[in-house]
Amino acid sequence: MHYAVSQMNRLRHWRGTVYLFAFVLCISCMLVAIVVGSVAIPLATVTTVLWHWLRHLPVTSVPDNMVTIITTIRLPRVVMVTCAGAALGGAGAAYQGLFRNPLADPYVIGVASGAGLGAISAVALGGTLAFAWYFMPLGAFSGALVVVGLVYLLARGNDQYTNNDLILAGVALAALANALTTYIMLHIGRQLSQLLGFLLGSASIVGWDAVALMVVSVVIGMTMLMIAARDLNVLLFPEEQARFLGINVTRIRALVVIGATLMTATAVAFHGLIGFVGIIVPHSVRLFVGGDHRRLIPLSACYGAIFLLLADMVARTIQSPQEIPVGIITACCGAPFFLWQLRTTKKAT
Amino acid sequence: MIDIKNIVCKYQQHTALADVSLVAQAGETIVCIGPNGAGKSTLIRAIAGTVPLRQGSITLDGSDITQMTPAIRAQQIAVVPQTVVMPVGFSVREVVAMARYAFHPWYQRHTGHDDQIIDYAMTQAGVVQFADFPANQLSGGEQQRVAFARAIAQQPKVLLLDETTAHLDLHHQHAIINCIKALAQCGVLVIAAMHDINLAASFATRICVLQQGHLLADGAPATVLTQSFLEQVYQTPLKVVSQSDHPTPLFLIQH
Repeated sequence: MHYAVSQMNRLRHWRGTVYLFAFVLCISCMLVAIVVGSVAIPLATVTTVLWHWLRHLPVTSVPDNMVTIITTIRLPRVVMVTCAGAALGGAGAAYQGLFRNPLADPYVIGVASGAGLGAISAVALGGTLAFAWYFMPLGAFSGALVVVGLVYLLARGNDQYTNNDLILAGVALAALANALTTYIMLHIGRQLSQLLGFLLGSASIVGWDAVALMVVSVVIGMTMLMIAARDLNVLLFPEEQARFLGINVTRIRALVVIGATLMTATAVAFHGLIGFVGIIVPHSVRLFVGGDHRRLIPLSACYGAIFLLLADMVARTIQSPQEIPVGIITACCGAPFFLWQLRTTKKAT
Repeated sequence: MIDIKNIVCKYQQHTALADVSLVAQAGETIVCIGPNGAGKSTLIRAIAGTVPLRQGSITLDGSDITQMTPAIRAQQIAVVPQTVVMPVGFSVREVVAMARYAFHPWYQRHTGHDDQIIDYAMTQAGVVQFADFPANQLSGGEQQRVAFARAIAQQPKVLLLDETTAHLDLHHQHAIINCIKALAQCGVLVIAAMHDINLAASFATRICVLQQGHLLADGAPATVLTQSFLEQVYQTPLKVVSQSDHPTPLFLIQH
C-alpha cells in the first residue's frame, strides 16, 4: 500500500520523461522492424534511405532494389502495424473506461468480429479483393458500430463497476458475427486462403493509399478520444454522479464510442482480427501511470504500437521465410493474460 | 435563492414526489427526514437536476435548473451521494480534482487557484493526509469523506447531502457536521436527507418532513419535532429525553 503511494508521488515529477521514453522506444522499434526481415538491411542503410526519402532526394549510395524494399514494402508495412497497434491500444483503454470494465477490449467485446463481418461483407458485395480496399473500412466501421451498440444496450442494466454481462454479451455477439463471416467466406468461395489470412491478421502487402487512410483514421479517432479523455475519468463513477460533476454524459459517450470504434474498424479492415492488444497494453500501462485517461489513452496507443511491432517481427521471422499471422502471436500472449485478469477481478468483487 | 414550485416526480407509475414546494435562502441548513421511500433522495436528485420533473419548476437565483447545461449546474450545485465506490488507479487528489472539470473546457489544465481549492477542500473533509493515496484502497468512511471533499471543491452555492453521514464514525460525523456549519456560515445553502432525527436536530436550522412524496411539515426543529407528530409519521412509539443544553429533546425508540 505504501509502495503504491510512493510510486504515485514519484511519477508526478517524471511525467514528461514517461512520454519521451515511450516515443523514443516506439521510433526505435519502427527502425528495427524495417531492419529485420527475410533480407536484413543494415541500420545505417535504412536511416540513409529514410532521410533521403523524407526530403524527396534520390539515393545514390544504396542499390535501387534496397531502396525499393525499404520504401515500398517495409516502410508502409511498419507504418501500418504501428497505426494498427496504436489504434487497438488506445481503443482498448477507451472501451475499458466507457464500460467501466478492465476486461473490455475491441476483440473481447466483439467489436473486432463485427468489423470483420462488415469487412468481409464489403468484399462479398464489392467483387474483387483489390477493389474492396475502399469499401472494407466502411463496412468494418458499420459492422463494429452495430456490435458496440448492441453490447452497450445488453450490458447497460448492470451499473456495477465490474460486470461480466459485458463480456458474455461480447462473446455471444462475436460468435454470431464469426459464424456469419465464415458463411459468407464459404459462399463467395474465392480467395479463401487470402481471406482466412486476413481474418487472422496480417499486413503482408499494403499500399501507401491504405496506409494513408489508416493514419487519417487513427488521427481522427485519437483526437476524439483525447477530447473525451478528461471527462471519461468521471464516467468511472456511476452515470448520475458524473452528471452531478457537470459532465455531458451523452456527448462524452458518443465521442468515445465513435472514436474508438473508428480506430478498431480501420485496424481490422487493413490488418485483420488481432486480439488482446487492447487488454494487455492498457492494463500494464495503468499499473505504472494510474487511471487518468489523459495519460492512459496516449500511452496505451504508444505501447500498443510497440507491442504490435514486436509481435509482427516475431510473426515474420519465427518461420522465415514463411510468415504466420500476427493474430496468432498476440493471442498466444493475450489469452493467458486475459484469463489471469479474469481470475483476479473475480476475486476483487 | 432556491425556489421549488409544486414539483411532481414519478418513477414509471410510482409517484415519488407529489406537489412539493419549498423556498430556501442562502446560509440555511435544511434537513429532510421521513420514512424509507418518502421521497427524500428524489428531492435531492430533483434539485441536482438528474430526475425529470413531471410538473412544477425549480429555480436557482431566478434561473430554471432544468435549462442549465450540466457544467453550469455543477458550478453551483454539488451533491454528496449515498455511496461512492472509487475507481482503480486514482489518487485522492485526482478524485477531488474532478470537481474542477466543470470549470474548464477539456483542453485547459487546472490552475494554481484550482490546486488551492482542492487542498482546502481536502483539509476541510479531513482527507488531506491521504492526498496521494490510491482512493480505492481507503475504507468506506474515508471514501465518503473524499466524496465530501470533492463536493466542497466545486465551491457550490447549494450543497446537497444524501445520507452522507450514515457510514461515518462518531468522530468524523462530528467533523463533517462542523464543516457543514462552517459552510452554511459562509452563505452556502445546505440541504440534507437524513435518517438520524437527533443528529438532524443538532445542526439543522429547518426541518422538512416528507411522507409518501408529500411535504408534511416545514419549520424550525423545535416546532416540527414533537413526539405525537413523529409517532404518527413513523408509526412507532417513541421515548423523549429532554436536554438541558438544547431546545429539542432526544427521540428514542420505545421498546
